Amino acid sequence: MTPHRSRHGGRPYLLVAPAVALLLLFFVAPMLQLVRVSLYEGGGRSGFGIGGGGFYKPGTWTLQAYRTLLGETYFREVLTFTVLLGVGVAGITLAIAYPLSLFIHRLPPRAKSLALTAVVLPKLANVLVLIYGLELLLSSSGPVNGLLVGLGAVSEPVTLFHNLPGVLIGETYLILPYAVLVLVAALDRIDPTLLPAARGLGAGPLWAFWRTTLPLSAPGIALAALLSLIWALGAFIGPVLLGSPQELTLAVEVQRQTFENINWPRGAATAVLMLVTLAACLTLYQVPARILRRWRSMP
Amino acid sequence: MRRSLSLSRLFENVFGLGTLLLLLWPLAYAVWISFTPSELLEPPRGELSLRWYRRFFELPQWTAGLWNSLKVAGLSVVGSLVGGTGLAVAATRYHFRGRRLLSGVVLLPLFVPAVVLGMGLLPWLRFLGLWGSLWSLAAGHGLWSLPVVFLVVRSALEEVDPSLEEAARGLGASPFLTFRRVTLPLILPAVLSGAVMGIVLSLNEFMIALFLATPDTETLPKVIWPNLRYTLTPLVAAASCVTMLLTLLGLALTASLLRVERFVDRLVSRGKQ
Repeated sequence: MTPHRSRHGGRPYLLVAPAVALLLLFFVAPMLQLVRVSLYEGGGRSGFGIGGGGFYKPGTWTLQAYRTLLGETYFREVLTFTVLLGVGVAGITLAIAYPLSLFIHRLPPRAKSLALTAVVLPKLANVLVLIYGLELLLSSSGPVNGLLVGLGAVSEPVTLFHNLPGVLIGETYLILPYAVLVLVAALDRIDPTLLPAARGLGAGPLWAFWRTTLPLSAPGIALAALLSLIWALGAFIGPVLLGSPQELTLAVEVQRQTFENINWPRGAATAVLMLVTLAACLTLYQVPARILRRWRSMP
Repeated sequence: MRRSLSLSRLFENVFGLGTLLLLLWPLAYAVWISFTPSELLEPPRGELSLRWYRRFFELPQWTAGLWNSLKVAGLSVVGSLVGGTGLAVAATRYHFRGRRLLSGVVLLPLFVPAVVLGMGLLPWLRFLGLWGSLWSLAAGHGLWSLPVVFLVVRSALEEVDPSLEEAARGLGASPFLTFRRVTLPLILPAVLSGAVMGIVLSLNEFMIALFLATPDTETLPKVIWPNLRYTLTPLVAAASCVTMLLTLLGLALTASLLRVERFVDRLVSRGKQ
């Protein structure tokens, strides 16, 4: 991490200039503009792209959009649902990703790189197509329902999308590969002699795992959970394509306000509140993350 | 004891393989369906057909989408390569005020939900007058490829032995010549793989395109979107197989370029012996 001492002399203004220009122009400025738009007075007229204007009243400064949003039960419900969905998806993702990562971690090298390719491959494809494949997989005549009915778990096909389970499955599916990559990297970093050592000292397989592998991979778990939570809070595609109108998230709300309701101040204010929610969740997340990290140093 | 252990191993293997197969299934099924001869969304029975691929290349809206996607990917990656590589070199080879801050800020766009980026970029790019051009989409996609290129190139630069560069400088090479003849060849694999990752991200990106694309600048995912919501045809599957094929071609090309380079390296070093 530490840079080599300055051998070239001078200051690297030219080297950083393109990146700084790109970030200022296309990241910092749009974020400031987002806040500015959220402070306009809404004046929605239709005619997107025709003649321009009409999405807000220029020159106004008001907290109207925020006041409306925070006063509404509708918005509070969407906000609560987004947070609960985010936590739920992060939890399910970890519950599947951790055992899967353990499995991949223990594979011989060649099989391991094959397995990791299988995990990453869906990420090279178009998200929309994945969702579409998922819909076919979950449909009432699809293989999942066939299996459930065949095993006698259910008497008739269950609806697995256009409802909450669909959203959970879809978002978990989209986030899982990232979590697995982080967790496998964390597991690979653990000293491989520790587990046999614990076993040699008489610990049973579960106890050895509980006292060596699990606590040592805790920082990886904390990071994977954090990343899953961040991405799940921005859930859009899952709720729109695999959910029903009841599964509204903040991201869907931003898009709807901007393009269907043509109320940019409200859309922008929702986006700002989304960032605030994200920041609040990250702050609150420090509590379980600290416990996870402390676990590692437990005697 | 032993039996219960092998039983849990068996369970573990079934779970692991099962989950991997489930992860691959939607993708494999979409590929399979793209070869259907039928008008409906059903897997091909008997013979395979390329009719949906032919259809794809016959529809101007879809081919225009593909072209736009490729142009946007190219534009955004060029910007990210210049910006990301420059920043990575500066962050690993120089001390300057704001080095840590800049290395952190460049990663931030990865953690801001895409919807928020889109909502901010839309009014800002309209203000700049870039809205309605492919540049606006490239700018949005560059926000993701910039940090990716930066991360990949930075970790490659940290691996490069500093004494090689010192030797070149000591022999009188200018900083630029040192970079071009010593550092760049060593980090080229990382630069290339960063570029490919950026292209893959851009080709499949959808949220930013939803916010910024106009009828003239629709990228392929944006063309697919209404079809997925309202009408389901195997055309969608064929379209995404085309993008995936391009992605895999890009990956294969990079891999073979790297192999050729290593091969040349070996020839050169053998010649010296």
